[in-house]
Amino acid sequence: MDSADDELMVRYLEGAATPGEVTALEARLAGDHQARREFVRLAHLQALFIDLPRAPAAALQRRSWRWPLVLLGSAAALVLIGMLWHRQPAGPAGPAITAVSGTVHCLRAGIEVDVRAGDALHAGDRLSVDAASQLSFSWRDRVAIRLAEQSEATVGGPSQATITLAQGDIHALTSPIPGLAFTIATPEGLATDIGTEFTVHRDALGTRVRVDRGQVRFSNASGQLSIAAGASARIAPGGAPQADPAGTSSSAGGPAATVPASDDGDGPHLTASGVVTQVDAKRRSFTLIDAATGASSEYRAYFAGGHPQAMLARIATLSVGDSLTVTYLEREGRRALAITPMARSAGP
Amino acid sequence: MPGSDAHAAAVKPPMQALLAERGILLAYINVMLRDLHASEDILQEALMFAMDQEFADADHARRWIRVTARNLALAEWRRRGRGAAISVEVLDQLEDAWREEGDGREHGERIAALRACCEALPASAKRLIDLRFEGNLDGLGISARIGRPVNTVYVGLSRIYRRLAQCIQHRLGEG
Repeated sequence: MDSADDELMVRYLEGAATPGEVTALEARLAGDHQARREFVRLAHLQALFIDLPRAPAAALQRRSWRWPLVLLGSAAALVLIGMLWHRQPAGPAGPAITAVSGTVHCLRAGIEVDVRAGDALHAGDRLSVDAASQLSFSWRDRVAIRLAEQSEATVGGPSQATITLAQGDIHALTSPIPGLAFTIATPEGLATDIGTEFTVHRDALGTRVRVDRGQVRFSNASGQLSIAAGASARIAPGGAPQADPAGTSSSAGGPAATVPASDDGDGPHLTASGVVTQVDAKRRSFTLIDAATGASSEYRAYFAGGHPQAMLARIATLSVGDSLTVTYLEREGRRALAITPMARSAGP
Repeated sequence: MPGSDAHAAAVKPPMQALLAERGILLAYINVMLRDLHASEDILQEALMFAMDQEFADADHARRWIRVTARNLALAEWRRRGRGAAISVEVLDQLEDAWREEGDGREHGERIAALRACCEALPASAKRLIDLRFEGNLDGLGISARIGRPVNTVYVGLSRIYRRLAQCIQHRLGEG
């Protein structure tokens, strides 16, 4: 092998070879097993760089891939997942019940608890309102929620201001909270308020949003609408947001598809906190709506060697409506995302 | 979640064998695509499919994933509008060389060796490697950054690659 062969091979592997150079490389490889071995060795060396530990800033740049990735297989990842499991504290400014009428069920970490006016609700609480009943609660006195009869919903995290509606009606009266967007999530999409009064209804036909005052952003992976006061829009299962014929919605671009990342040195970087809206068991992936930004991102299991069972098992236990914090970590050159279930730590 | 128990099941030994050869598989795909991040996507897709397969042993898993990865990579290459790449016939001829390359150390050992070898590079070579892989720049981008002709960049990279390949071989006691 001479240096001209090396240069030809590297130009090809770097994607810089001209068609003539590709032909020359083919001729070189076709007749010489040793040349083929050298080519494969150089290709292997080049590929190793993708896993070479690097500075946090460079690692974060790499996350411009198609999906935010759940990195698996490093001992650091497995340890940190365990460590972080119980560390999410309940925030002091979480939602609080203002009124209970009739029969309301609250399932907290799998156990039914009593709900009374003045009680705090916790991230992950699953609420179910019987017929001829309703539940009212508020967030920092800036968001007033009424869950109507025969409705089911899950409370987001204390700092996330998100409710996931499984079925029924939610009426929301809100005023802007700095740095916090109040969002109602359903399997079909998101309704994010911009200081307003609105109602979200969900049934087998999909999700419908009606705006009484202000403005609501209604979005899913297929698109986004801005719904003005007096207008309404809907999303059928599997469909895109559509303004009702009598509505006055205006079309906008699709929702953000990436999670913003902080880059302030070593240690954990909060990546996203919110509610799981979709779990794909076959692809070992889940979709999380970041309550702070309204961005919906898919997290996929990522095979990087080692023992990925723990993360795969963790993803397999997720359900729609789970409240999670996904934390990006960079420790000693190892990269990992840890999944923290907020509901587990928010005990009474 | 239906079926989740099956997905939570332990990763079987043949899958571990594939993960141990991650670098070779990535390189195998990248020879077709010449885009490491796109190749990573393809590899993840292939490994995901592999999780649902029953393999008789590690060799069966290796053969299966090479065929799958190759099909996925060629489909992606066609989707991207093809482009100058070595022919399928030459890819076939490379198969023996890939098998021989796979009869060595595990991926983690190679990464550790590469890291040590990179630390021993002179400052100018380290900078070139940093620009290429940490800065994610191609030859043109590096050329603009360092103010040298693009040809000089590729000559430099090929010398560094050769040096690193020899260093890794030496560290792992191969060759």
